[in-house]
Amino acid sequence: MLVKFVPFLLILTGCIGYGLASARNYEKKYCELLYFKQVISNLSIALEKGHLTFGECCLEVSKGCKEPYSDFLESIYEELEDKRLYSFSEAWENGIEILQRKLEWKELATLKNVACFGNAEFAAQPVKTLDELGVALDALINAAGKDKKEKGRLSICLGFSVGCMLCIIFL
Amino acid sequence: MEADIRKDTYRLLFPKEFQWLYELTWQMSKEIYEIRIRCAAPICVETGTGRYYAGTGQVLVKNMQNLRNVSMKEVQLWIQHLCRYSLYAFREELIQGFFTVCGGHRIGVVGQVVWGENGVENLKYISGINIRIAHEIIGCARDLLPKLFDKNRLCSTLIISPPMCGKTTLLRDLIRCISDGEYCNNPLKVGVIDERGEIAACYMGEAQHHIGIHTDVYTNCNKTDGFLRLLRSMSPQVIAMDELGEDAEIHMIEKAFFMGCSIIASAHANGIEAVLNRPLLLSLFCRNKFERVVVLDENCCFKKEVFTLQDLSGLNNSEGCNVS
Repeated sequence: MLVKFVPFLLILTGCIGYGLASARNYEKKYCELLYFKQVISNLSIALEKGHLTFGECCLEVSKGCKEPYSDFLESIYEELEDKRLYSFSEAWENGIEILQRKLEWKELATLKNVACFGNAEFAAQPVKTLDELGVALDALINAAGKDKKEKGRLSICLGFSVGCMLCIIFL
Repeated sequence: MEADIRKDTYRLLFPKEFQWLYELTWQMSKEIYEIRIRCAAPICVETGTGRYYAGTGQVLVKNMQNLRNVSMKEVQLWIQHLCRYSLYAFREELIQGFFTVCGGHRIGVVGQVVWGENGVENLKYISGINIRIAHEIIGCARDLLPKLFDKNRLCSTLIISPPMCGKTTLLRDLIRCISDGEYCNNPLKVGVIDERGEIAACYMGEAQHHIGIHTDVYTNCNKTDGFLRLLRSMSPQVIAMDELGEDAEIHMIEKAFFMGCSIIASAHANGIEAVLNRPLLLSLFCRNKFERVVVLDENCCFKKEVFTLQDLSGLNNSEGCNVS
């Protein structure tokens, strides 16, 4: 009996564990996007002080951030303050690509094309422009929230179902 | 190493779209005074050997044919690049009409002024930029130093010249020499009131020029406030400032004299006679406050004449008053 029970347990545990891990990924993505939104919000607060440039604000906020967001902000600071080889929108796009690579989220590509960056309006009203970025981020957060609920539950159920099926087949 | 830093800071003046201009002008950057960018006009590079214009095809030409005009969008792009895409952070400086960037270069801007209850509140539609390239000539004041000391005591000195004759460059090196004790191994504590950010050209708190190791700088501070702050907190032995002119500033200098400080200042004037025709400055000479006057020649910028009080006595101003 024990000979049959242990493999049954292992298969079921493995499949449910896989389902849980998938669900956790969706939850992690959702939490990370919320964290990113908080980073942007902190950036707006730093900009409202008025006497720091955008690059300096990025550096200040990066000190209180975890990776890879600190790397993202520091790359923007380095480009805008030290190297200055690229325009603002290019520096922003490069930063988003760094974030995309480290988090492995293709959806972040939509943040590259936020039209507010790279034009004169940004230079005059950065906080308003970051608010528009926040709106784009909200769309991603909503989508991630839905995924967390629907796909997360689906993953757990699938994991359990597959585990049971495998148990039935092998046992 | 310093040459690399200088090259880097010079490159940072040009946005990506105008890197070709950086490559064309880098070799002659030591001779460039100004780079002027104006809307609907060609870029103009002013040098000691003449004026160059940006022609079509990314070239610099001396004649005024086949020139390439700069569009308003390009001017906006350039000013955004210089402000690090943060125009809002430079609002105070833009109201004054200029700001300093890394390397000590001064950026002057013109545009449409926005008036409010408290005077000029903002500058919009920036239509012209003047990049004044910073130059430092270390050692240009060395031969002047012995003439400014009287038995190891630094005499209060006024440097006068017309505009663009090296007055600030000379003042800067003088500050460095006095602060580093290049005369008689006697370094003095120097307080600098850098009202327009041209002497030390501090960028994010760091002086971009060599101004000596015993120098304290107040940047973007008017002279009257700067005096009081320096005297109260930094105990300077020498106070240096650029472009003395307002009556309030001259009255404040008198207080500094009472406190035992030597003053090194500069003033716009076309020669010693022009100074003698200014009543307040004349009164300072009459009461032995300024003991030395350095006159810069407009034809040969660093030809310096130094007048002492004995030289000044017997000189008449236009009203026939004697300086004695």
